[in-house]
Amino acid sequence: MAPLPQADVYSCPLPPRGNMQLLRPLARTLRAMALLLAAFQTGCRFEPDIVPLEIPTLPPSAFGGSLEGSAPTVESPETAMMRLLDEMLDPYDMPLGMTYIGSAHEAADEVLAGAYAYYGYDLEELAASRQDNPLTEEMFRDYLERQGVRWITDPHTNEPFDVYAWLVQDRGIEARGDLHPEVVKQIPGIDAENVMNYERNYLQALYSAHPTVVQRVRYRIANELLERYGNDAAAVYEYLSNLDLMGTSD
Amino acid sequence: MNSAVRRTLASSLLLAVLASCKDQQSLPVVSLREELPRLEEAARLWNSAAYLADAELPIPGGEHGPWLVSASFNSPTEQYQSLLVFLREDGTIDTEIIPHTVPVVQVEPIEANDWEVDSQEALDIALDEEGMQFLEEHPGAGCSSLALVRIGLEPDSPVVWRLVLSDCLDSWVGQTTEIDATTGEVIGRETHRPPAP
Repeated sequence: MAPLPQADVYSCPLPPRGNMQLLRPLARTLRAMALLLAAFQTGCRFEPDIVPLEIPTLPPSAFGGSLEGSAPTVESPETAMMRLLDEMLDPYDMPLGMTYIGSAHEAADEVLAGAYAYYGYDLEELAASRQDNPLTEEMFRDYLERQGVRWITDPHTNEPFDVYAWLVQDRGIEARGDLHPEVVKQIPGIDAENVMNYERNYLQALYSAHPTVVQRVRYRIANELLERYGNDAAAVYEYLSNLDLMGTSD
Repeated sequence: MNSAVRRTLASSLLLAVLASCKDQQSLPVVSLREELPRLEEAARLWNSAAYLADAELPIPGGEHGPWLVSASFNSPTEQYQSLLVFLREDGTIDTEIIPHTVPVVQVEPIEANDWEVDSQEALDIALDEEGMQFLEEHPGAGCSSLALVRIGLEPDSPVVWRLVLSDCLDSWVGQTTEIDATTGEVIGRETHRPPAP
C-alpha cells in the first residue's frame, strides 16, 4: 500500500499506522464517553424526556474502489472486512504477506508437532478439557537436543534454521498481532498470559475445540471496529490491513 | 480539543458518574433469567435435546453492543455442530449453526437451578471498586463481556459468572473476574498484561 500523506486526524481518509497512534486516544475518549453516558442514562435514571447526546464517531473514510491484495474487485467492503478478520483469526495465517505453506514456519511447526507426540500429549484432548499447553520451551529444547532436530533447512533460502530460537523469539505467534489473546481470554481455564498457549499447533487445537468462542469474538471485534469507524467497512478493512502487516504491539 | 482537555473531560464525566451512581447499577444488561426461555425455545427448534452450554452478554450492551445476549447450545445427538442463539436489541432472535471440525466438547448442561444470581446483579458485583478502576484506566474496553459458564468439565463443577474486561485491539490487557453464580461471591480476579518479551 502506498504511504498516505500526513493529514489532520479528522480528514485522514485511510489511517496508516502512524495516524492510528494519534487516533487511539480520541477513540478511547469517545469510548469512555459512550460508556459513561450509558451508565448515566440508565443507572442514574435520567428524566425520560432528555434527548440523548449524539456521541460523535470518527468520520467515515473514503473507499476508493478495489481493495488491494488478493481481494477480488467484486468483493464488498463488508465481505472483505470479515474475510480479513477471518484470516487474522487463523492461527496459520502469516503477516507481511508471507505464505505459510512451504515456509520455515511450517517446517518448524512440524518439529513442534513431533515434540507433542514425543511427550505423549494429545492436543485435541488438552484443548477440549481447557488445559494450558503443557509443553514448555525447556521441554522443547530438550526434545530438539535429544532428537538432533534443532537445526532444519529453511525451504526458501536453504539456510540453516534454528527451531528453538524461532520458538523463543517468535513463539509461533507473535507475528500474528494481537487478536488471538481476545479469544484465549474467553476460554475458561486457559491462561491468556502463557505464551505457549499461542503456539500455532495448540492455538489451532483450542480454536477447533471452542469454535463458538471464536465466532463471538469475531463478531465483537467487527462490531467494535464498525462502531469506531462510523460503520465504514472499507475503513475497517484498511485498519485491519495495517494490523495484519505490522501487528498491534506498540 | 487537545488531548489534555479530552482526558480532563472524560475524567470529570467518570467522576460525576461514580459520585452520582453510587449504590446504583453500574452498567445495564438484560436479565438472562427472563430472556433464557426464549433462547431455549429457539434452540429446541434446532435440536429437541439442545442444552445450554454457556451464555454471554456484551458489556456494554444495547446500541453499543452487537447483541444483548448470545447463548451457546450443544446437543448430545449432534457431534459436529452446535448452535449460537442471539437476542438482538429489537427483541428478535437469530440463530447460527456453528460447524465443528472436531467432535463437540459435551459439557454438563447449565440448568436453571445451577445459578441464582442474575446477570445484572453479577455485573454490579463484578464492577466493584476494582472493576470500575480498570474501566476507568481502560475506557476502550469494547470487547468486554459477562458470561455464564460451568468453570470445569467435571460433573457438578460450579457455574460462575465471568466478567472479562477487554479492549478488542489491545487485547493483551484485560481483567477477568469470576463470581459464584449461586452465592454472588467473588471467587477470583486476574489482571492480564502483555507477556514479558
